[in-house]
Amino acid sequence: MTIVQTAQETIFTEKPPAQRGLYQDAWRRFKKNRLALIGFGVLLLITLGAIAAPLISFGGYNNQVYADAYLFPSPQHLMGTDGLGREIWNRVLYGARISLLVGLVSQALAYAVGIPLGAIAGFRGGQADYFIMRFVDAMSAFPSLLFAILVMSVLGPGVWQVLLAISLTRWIEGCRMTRAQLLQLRQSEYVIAAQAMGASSGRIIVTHMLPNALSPLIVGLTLGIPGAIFSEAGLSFLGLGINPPIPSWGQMVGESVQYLSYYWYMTVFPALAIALMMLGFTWAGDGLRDALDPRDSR
Amino acid sequence: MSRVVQYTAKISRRNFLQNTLTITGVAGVGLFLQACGAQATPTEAPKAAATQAPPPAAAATTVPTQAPAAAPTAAPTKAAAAATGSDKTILGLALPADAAPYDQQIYRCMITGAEPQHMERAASVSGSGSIYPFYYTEPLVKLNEDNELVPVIAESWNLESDGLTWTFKIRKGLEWSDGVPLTAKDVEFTYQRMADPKVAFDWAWFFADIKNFKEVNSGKAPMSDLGVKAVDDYTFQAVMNAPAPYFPDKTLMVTISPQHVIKTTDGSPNWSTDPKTAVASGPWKLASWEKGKQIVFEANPNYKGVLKPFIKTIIIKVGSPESVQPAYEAGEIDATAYEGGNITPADIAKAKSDPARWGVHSYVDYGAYFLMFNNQMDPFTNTKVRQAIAKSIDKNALAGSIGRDLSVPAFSMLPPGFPAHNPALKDDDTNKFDPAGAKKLLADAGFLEGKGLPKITLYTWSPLNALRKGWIEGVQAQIKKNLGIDTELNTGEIKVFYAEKAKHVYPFTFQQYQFDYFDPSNLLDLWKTGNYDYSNKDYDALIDKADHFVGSKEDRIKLYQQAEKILVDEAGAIFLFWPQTVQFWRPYLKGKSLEPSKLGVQSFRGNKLGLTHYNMYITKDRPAIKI
Repeated sequence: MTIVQTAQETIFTEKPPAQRGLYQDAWRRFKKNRLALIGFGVLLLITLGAIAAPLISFGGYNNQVYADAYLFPSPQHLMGTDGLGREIWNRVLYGARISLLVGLVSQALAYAVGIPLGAIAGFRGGQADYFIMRFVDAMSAFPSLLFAILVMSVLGPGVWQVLLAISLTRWIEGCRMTRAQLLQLRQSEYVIAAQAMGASSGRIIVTHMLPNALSPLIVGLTLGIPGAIFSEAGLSFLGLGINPPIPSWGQMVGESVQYLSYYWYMTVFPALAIALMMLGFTWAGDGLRDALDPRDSR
Repeated sequence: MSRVVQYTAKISRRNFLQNTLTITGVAGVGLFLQACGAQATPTEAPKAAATQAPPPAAAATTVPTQAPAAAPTAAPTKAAAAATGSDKTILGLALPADAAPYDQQIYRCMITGAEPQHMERAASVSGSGSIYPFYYTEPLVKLNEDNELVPVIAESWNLESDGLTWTFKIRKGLEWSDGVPLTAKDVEFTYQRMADPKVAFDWAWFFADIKNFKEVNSGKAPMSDLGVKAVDDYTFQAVMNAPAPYFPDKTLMVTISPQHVIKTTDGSPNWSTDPKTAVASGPWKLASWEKGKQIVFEANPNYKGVLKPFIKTIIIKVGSPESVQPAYEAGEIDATAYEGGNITPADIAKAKSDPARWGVHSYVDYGAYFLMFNNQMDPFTNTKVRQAIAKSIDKNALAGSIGRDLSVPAFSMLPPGFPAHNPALKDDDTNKFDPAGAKKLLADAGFLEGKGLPKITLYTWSPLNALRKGWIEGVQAQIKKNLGIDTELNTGEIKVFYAEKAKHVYPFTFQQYQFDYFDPSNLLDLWKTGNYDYSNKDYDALIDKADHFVGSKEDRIKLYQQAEKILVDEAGAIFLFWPQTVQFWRPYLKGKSLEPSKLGVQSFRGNKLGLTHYNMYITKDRPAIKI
């Protein structure tokens, strides 16, 4: 009896813990995850490199110095030179721009299409849901790379064409995810309450439901971006991607793989860059997922 | 003694590990061989096993018992005949002193393109592959190392006084491998077969010089109207539409088909796929053909012709562009003789680090890579614009960097060694790299610093290999740097590209052409109005005159050289480079064709024209192989 009382007293007398929101919690958890921090650091470095490319490269990505063709890595030529005497280092730096651009923009495009469609399907239900989801099913029946190849061969090579080709299949995931989240949230008390108070559908979706559906979408983003980058690399590897001479990592690997038996560095450095970026996104994405999952209370 | 035993016992654990590894390796090799027989043939299993086993003592006890189980298909078909071979070929030719025994005269190579569907040249050129029919059937003539025509089935040939009729004397005593005589009737049959609409010969255009060939081929005239005729058993005549001085050169593209065999079948070329029906007129005959694996030719004991080879067996493995280099390095093939286009500067650099082992050979191929203008489309109607672009490109620098070892800077359509090649064109003003002069020309044309020019798009076909892509990027950068003109690249799927190009809709293209027969008309006819995108009346007139010229060879060549000078001078095209083919031939292969010829070039090319396989032999330096 006394023990119970003591316990109750303790509870009531102790100061209530400071209020922490989901994102503060997430940040606290993210900070503790060393792998996630390393991944984040790698991404930061690559981004900085891409932004500062004109400052830390020597002469741009298409500076052809024929006398310096086919040189192995050395202090003068950090990552060696290609057959046209261009520094691999410069091309890797500028290639990061394309990779980041493709990754971010195509994922943004995909979400810009996917989230509204998913929201309508999930919130409205009924016929709208039926038609949207059947369309999604039909689209997902296409293998995404093959579909992108088809689009590219119709549109021809170029940065914007690549973005379009990749986004065309990537919006499906965002659409499905949003729909699933909204279907779940539609049953929650605060949505029912908002409906009862006469809030419009748009308002309910934007101010009440989407913020609560955000964390899986953010995780989807961190995994979708490397997926898009990889698709671009794949397309460029096949010679269907970015128009030369603008470098992209996939294209650099694709064309130098023929030189692998001797001039290994032409393939190794851009391939390493792709691998690092993938790893960065994967680690940071994993960390973010763990951090944003409220059920996980580490 | 006890020490030895102890030692053995001591290392036994390590041996055990090695053995285990070896067994695993052999089993792996066996499985690999079964899984992808296309890359390596079952007959190589014992060899592969031998190279897999590192310590002979340790492996010797394990491997033989394991290998057959792992690779059951590896049944030795022939006993090893290393030291028992004769020093004479089956046709009685004595082998050179340093040659390996006749049983070891086995030449192994690999095809990297598509496997042929059959081996009858007169039914289809592309379907029969590029060289296979030439091993077991012969054409009327061949080219020797010095690029001269030599008689094969034809003993001699001459032009009749009408200037239109070619008479070929057929060699007497020739026989098919089944004993049936080979006569002018077979030759007549072969040429009729190519014109036969039912056969749908894919190179019918090539023989359009023959009288009524087009008409017969399109079904508008009966076969009896075709201008070919066997006058008697040893005389064959072909009548031309117009004088065609190059006709004998064209005949080397087609081997003679056996009339007596094909007439008993439904007329399809499939007789050539089965050793039973594929009768040979050449020094080898088809011994076996495992689709997807290998084609084997063996010496033909009944050969009555003139080209007597040293090589007894030719094994053609079916591979892929990726597998040819590894197979060569592993010693599974003796040369990378076919379609060496996949060899990159990296392979060459690697080979040059150990040339004695690799046996690096190269020759300038008979073809050219060029930028072609459509001089009927603006802004390329203006000669000065074309010349300005031509002078802004430093071909020598590009050939020395991106094109290293695989390209020779070009200055004309006709490459060195080709008839009518004109070295003087090198100093033609249009061929000189001169950025200042280029800028001035562009300004004279009314486009100072490139202002006022429409957007320029360069068209080519995809996929781009490293060599073509590098050249294009280099050219684009040079035009930008030296003239300030931006060019955009547009790559189209290969079939689409050629279909569109034929409509003359592209203003500026990057292209290449490889020769078909050894006469200037082949490479210069392309630039006549209506063929490519170039059009010039003077050029057309000169080429027409030369193509049907009756008179001395020198005068005819002069006409071609005059025409080519116009083309180069006014930059109808920018000739960028002549492709250089690099092939690897093991140093244990010897022969006249592997030495420089009178022209100073090696003519070892493994294609249909060369005599390489006839004068080549394998020296004692090659370790004995089993097949």
